[in-house]
Amino acid sequence: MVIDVRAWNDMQALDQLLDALWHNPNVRQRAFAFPPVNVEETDTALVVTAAVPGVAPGDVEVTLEDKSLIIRGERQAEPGRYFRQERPVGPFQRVITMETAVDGDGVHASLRHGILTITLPKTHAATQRRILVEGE
Amino acid sequence: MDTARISLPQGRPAADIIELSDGFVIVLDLPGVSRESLSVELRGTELVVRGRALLAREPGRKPLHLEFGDAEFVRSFTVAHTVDREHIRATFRHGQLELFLPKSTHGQPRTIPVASADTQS
Repeated sequence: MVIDVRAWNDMQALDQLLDALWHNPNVRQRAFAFPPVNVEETDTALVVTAAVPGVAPGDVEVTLEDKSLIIRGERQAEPGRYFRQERPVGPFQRVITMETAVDGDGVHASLRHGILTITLPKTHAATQRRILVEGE
Repeated sequence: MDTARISLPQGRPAADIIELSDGFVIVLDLPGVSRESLSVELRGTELVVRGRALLAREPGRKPLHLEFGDAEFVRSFTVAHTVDREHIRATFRHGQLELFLPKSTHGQPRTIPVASADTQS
């Protein structure tokens, strides 16, 4: 039998999370969707990172459709009797809508230590513009 | 830069605890944690998992939308006597740690053979 004692008095973690959400203007209310996604920008590219622990490179699909970047995959549940389940399982999907024109041929995706990094080079015309809207 | 010394916000990684017929499986999500920064320690009956996730930093990258960041993941579990503590196994793949805690065979009922003493005469 394995008992996780910290769960009973773990208000500290909750406090930290609430603090982070209140005080970090960059963290939006979508922070609980899976997988969590970060979007960053350089002068020449958009960089999207997603935390997908436990997902093998073959089990995640990245598609670029017009202005939407779609990350799809599935996390399998382990067989057995669950005492505790905190990790989200099942199919997941995130869609990132980009108002910046990107060069679809130059997109590069890599997966390391459960972090998926997608680099989307901006097109020539878009290197000066930047608008980003994020949605389901 | 000595990345091992940077103080990071502490995070409690999501964990599943699953019972199988021959043991328990603990699965922990540790995205961004490298194998080098991961430690699994058993002190008495306390099993402690620690790992540091430092995301790639490149000069000139401006954040537009952030949902996760650097973290020091810490989580501890109490392991009861029914677990064979000598044979705990850990596998780390794609930012996910899987611990297998086999059930101890000592606690199982054993049949003791009874020898016959009748032939002593």
